[in-house]
Amino acid sequence: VLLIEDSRHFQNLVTLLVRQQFPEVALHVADDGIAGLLLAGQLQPDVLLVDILLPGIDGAALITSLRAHPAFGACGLIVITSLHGEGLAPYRHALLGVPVVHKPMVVSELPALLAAALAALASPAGRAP
Amino acid sequence: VNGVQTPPAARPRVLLVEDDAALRKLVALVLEVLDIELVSCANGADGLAELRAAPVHVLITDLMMPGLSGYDLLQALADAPALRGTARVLVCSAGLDARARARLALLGAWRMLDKPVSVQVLEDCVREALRLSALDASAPEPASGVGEHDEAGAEQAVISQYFAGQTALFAAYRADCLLQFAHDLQTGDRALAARDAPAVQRLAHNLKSVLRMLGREAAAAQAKALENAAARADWGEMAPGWDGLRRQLTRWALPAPPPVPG
Repeated sequence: VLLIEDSRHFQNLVTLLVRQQFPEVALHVADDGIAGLLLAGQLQPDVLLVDILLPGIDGAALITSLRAHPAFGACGLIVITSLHGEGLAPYRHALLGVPVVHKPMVVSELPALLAAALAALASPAGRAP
Repeated sequence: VNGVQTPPAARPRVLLVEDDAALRKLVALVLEVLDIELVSCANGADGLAELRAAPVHVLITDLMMPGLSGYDLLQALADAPALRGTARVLVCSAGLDARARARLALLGAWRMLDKPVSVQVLEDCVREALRLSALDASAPEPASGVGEHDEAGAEQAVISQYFAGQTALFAAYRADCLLQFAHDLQTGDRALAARDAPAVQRLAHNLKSVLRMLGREAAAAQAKALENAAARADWGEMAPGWDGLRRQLTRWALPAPPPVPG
């Protein structure tokens, strides 16, 4: 699993949560969009957790470019953002069909979504809808 | 008969709770240079009695003591915030691991120093606490603010709202945040100095969510105002906005661990 998130605070929170609830998962962290793209290419992660407001390349642009690449067809995606409503509107095009977790709700919402993304990898049907 | 006598100078009151008599003497020597009233106690029960007698500006406490331990003392203050007042709590103890630090942070410890404590670090910490205490006196919290008295209640609320009731997870996250605040202070100072509005906006945006999750609504509102000012590149509002937020973060921040040599 690769987390692309510039906030150390949320890196810490997601790391605590993953260590606690998904001890079998290897979590990698990238601090910005460009490092995230590089690391995604290098690691070929099963699941990407992506923030939207990132320095360098924003999360929506990053998702769009990764999706265009066949190597990432099977990669699970979850967006973690503090944007909502109008703030999120400019990025909607990239977020179709992608589950979105709002930052304050990471603890209650992320584990179930991550579990579903990991389960979808194991099932023959491939990605969750 | 003593009608002309002026009341004793209102020197800041510092309470030291330490069972080792030699250490009590040492701390008294170190703090002699400061214009304070130092009250020393050998155990938590006596410390609590002193706090009941009069509020203090700084509380320096050991953890392992016979009878009422430092943890018990901090728990008593967490249960009765009025007793703690605005005191900064400085814990000095041997063997403070991450778990102990997280627990102490949750109990409201302001600084945690590993024994043996350098006398310079101790003096600096007490000076910093007194400086903040003077700031509190000159400028109270924003009217809409959640004061320290309400912090425990606010934390209980966010633990159930944002942390699915998991107190330990909250404590671990909070400890991480308090360490990270020292870096955030540097990031903010650099962004302001470089007049980098997008960087200020990113930092404020991020702190807004973090502070809300920690139950610090007043500070979260300050961060939100700063984020808006930064979005407009309004330097007239950004500078005082950062000053206000900076003061709050400074109060809560734990000192960053020293850089690893090499």
